[in-house]
Amino acid sequence: MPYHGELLQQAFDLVQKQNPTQADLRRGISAAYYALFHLLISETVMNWRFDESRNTLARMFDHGVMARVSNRIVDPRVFPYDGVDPLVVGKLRKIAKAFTQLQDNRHIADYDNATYWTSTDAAEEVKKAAIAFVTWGEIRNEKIAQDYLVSLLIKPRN
Amino acid sequence: MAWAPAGYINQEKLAADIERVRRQLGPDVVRLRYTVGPDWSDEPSIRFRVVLTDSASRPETLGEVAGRIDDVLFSELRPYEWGLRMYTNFRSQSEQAQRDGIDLEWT
Repeated sequence: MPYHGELLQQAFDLVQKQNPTQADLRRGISAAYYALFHLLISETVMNWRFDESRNTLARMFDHGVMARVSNRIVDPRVFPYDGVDPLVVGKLRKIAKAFTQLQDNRHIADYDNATYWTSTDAAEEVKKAAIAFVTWGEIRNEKIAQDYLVSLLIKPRN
Repeated sequence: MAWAPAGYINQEKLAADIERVRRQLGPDVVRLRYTVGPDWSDEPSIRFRVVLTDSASRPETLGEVAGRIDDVLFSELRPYEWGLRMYTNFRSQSEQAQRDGIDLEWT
């Protein structure tokens, strides 16, 4: 199983425990975010022809840049995707939205000790990541999906 | 992309829009609360806290229910037009009953 798949499984295992602790739920939310993070990175670098360079390329990704790019994708004023199948566009925006939401909640889970997490809230975050995985599988070969991957490396100008 | 700090948002209009959308969410939603403020990256954002019925919160339905509510909130409110990022958090009615009076942003 690829690393991103292991992270998603770990996330499920943590949040689905009987009587999970706050540590279980918070680490589960974090694992869910990192699962999607590493999925997107993996999908990008696998397009690089030289296998031995892929790990180096993977380290170029920046969480903040990825979130900013993803927030632009969900805004139809910035990326109207005219002429593209609206179903595909909707799926891409769903993935991008999931990424930004998972990232923010991951920060809260990892660093904000004042926030109490319930099983439902944590489970929903993990399901969001899982749905993003499935949705990505449905559109990964579409041009706009591949363009999204490349854009994750490029710092937006505004 | 327009940037609108929370202090410049027409709070009355936002509240009216949210109330309009809340009615579309259906009986799965017991309570909807929200706050406007910076997210972890200091970007202006709106965070919805949604209490679901226990039935809607079951593991076999949670993903579909939460996804639908998130989609409706996003497509109807268009938070990007307000200059806001949007986040959603969910609890079941039973979970919230144990936390009422403790987590004030949920009550």
